[in-house]
Amino acid sequence: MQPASEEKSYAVGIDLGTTYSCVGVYKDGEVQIIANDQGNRTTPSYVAWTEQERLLGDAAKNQVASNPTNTVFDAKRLIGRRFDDPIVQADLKLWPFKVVSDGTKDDKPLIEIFYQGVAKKFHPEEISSMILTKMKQTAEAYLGHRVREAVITVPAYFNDAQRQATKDAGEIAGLRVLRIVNEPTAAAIAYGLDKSTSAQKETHILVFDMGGGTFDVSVLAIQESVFEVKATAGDPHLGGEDFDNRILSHCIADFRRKYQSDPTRNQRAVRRLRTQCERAKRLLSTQTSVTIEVDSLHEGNDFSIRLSRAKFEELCLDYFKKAMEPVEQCLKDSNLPQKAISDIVMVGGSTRIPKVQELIKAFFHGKELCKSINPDEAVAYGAAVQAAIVSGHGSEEVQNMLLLDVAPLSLGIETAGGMMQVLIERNSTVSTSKSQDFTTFEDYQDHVDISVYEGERAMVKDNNFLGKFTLKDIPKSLRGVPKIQVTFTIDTNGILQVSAEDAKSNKKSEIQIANEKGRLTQNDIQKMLQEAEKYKGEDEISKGDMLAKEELKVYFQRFDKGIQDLDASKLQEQDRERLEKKLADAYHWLEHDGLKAGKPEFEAKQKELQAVMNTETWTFAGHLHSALYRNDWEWRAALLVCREF
Amino acid sequence: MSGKDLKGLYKTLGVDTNADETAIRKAYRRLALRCHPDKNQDNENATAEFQKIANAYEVLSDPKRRSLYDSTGCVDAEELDGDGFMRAEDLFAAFFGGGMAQD
Repeated sequence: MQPASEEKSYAVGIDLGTTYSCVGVYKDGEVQIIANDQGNRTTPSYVAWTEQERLLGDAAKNQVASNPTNTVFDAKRLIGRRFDDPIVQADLKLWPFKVVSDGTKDDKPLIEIFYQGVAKKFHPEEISSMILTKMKQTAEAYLGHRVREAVITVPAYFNDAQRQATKDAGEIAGLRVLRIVNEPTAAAIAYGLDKSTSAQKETHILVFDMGGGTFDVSVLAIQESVFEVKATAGDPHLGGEDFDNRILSHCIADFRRKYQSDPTRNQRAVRRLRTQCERAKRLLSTQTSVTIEVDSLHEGNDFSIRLSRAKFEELCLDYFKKAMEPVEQCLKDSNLPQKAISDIVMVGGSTRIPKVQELIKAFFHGKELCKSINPDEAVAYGAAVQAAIVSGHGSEEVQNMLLLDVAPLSLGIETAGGMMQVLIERNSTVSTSKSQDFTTFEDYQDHVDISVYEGERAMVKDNNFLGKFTLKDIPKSLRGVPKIQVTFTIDTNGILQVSAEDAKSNKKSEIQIANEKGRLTQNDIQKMLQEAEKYKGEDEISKGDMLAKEELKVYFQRFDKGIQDLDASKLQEQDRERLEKKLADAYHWLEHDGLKAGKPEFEAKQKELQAVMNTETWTFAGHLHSALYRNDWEWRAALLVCREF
Repeated sequence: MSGKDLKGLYKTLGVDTNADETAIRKAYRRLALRCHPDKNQDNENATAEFQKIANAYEVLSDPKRRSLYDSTGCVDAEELDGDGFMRAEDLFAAFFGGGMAQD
């Protein structure tokens, strides 16, 4: 059933990228990729704080050179990782913004910025939530309706913590996250719909997804409308930014040689140079050489260097070669010979690099690559389709589709000697679950700890620690007597859930599980959500609401000025106090209830104040009225400014 | 159905015990499309149902595991080895976080 029009709400698909994000919606039987307020179909995953305001997307990226320490990007490279993660430690050295540890045993990274003279710290989830908010607003502006639900994509090779944190980011942005979908799988949907061959025959495709920060390979079997992922592999920290860094290092070395001075501590210089390096990399996909030029880069010295495509390839060759390993792994895991792959689908901006194309083509003995889908938009496209499938809003063609994805990493528990006992093998179709029985080792033992890991190595110390689960309140009895069945489930989002039951009494509730996954608690999320509400306060609300709110604010100001303009002869002290009280109450309402209010509430509030004015003595009413409407053009101008939002 | 389908995996997929790989795959996808929780959002048993189908497919689509199942009724080597209960040394590790060797 179609909900009433004012209740109409859309589920969108969001590709939350390391460097760029993209949003799409399934509407009227097709997917629309939505352009942002700058007219761009992808939005930089950037957030910045200036002295006056918070900026998102293009606005944030455009001012990065002048405000490097308060412009945050790459949150996806931090999300779900610990501060002491070697990857975080290496990335830290390249970021102009500050990252610190939260100082707890979870050692979560926090991003520190300065806003209005105060240091503020944010979890990577919060930064991602701001980008998601921007994408949500972009969709709302296009649809003219609120967006409350979304499918968000993650790299297929993201681990449990990274997936969970991405889901949390969605919640902080006020979105119900319908599903976390793997990026290459989403791209495969875009490919599948593009082909739209309802052929009965089974085809196998390989998706090669290399973006700004992450790299995935997936092999899928497509038959009719079922998309079954056979295997996935990848590197969660390999992409265009790594290539930019290589060019950057090359340029800095050259600058040092030429001028005997080191620009690396000059954040602004590094940022300006990096922007030019990124530009050069893009140009080298279509031309064979470029000049990187920055005037007055450091200590008044201009910088200029010629970079050939061959040199660029030499600088990044080890990365490019490394990318072939997951391709090999993925084919092996899917038990398919190379010749079984009928199409190689290239997704992500970095697949435009000729050398990357050349290497993969050579790997498949010269097979032509499929470039028919848009490498920047395919993931959001697929996510939008999946949003329609899961929310039940799509056409029949879409409703008949089914996505069967896999878990990218094996899941296991620690056993004797620190060995890993695998419970769920990698590339198992999700959702999947496995039960294991546990008992006690000592008489009257009332709890059992279970350490859970993900990864492919034999020893748990070489794998990634997921968390410790404690079975509590075990009925006291002699050792070996209790039988507790613990079920490990990897859900359709690729996230681990653990449940336990006393196998003897079959009562689920009897065994409590303390979850120590080191993720944000529901409480944390609620707090961040409120914090975000305060921040958004103004940008959250859709245009109509915004306009009504601004109109009300202007009315307040006029009202205030009207009272101030009247001297004691025209307005008695007690009336003045009463009116000021009314106004203060109204302001208070605006700052609190007003954060969640919509157009009707704002209009009602304005009427309420008007009513107050009308009940006053005619003298006051007359004065106030003329004060309120004295300069009608000013009023209009103020409203015009509001409409700019 | 012959007597060798001890855990009823073939029955779950609705195929004969001598069905070929293609038939098993087709049966799985047809059932998945019908039983997947995404298509049955009001049915809270859908996840369990789908997992049962997926488990049967996982065993029967792997030639090695399928032949093990056909001859023994076990779905993997682990099950063949024991009763699925954790062994004594495993238990020790489970309680003390694997500290046995280090202690």
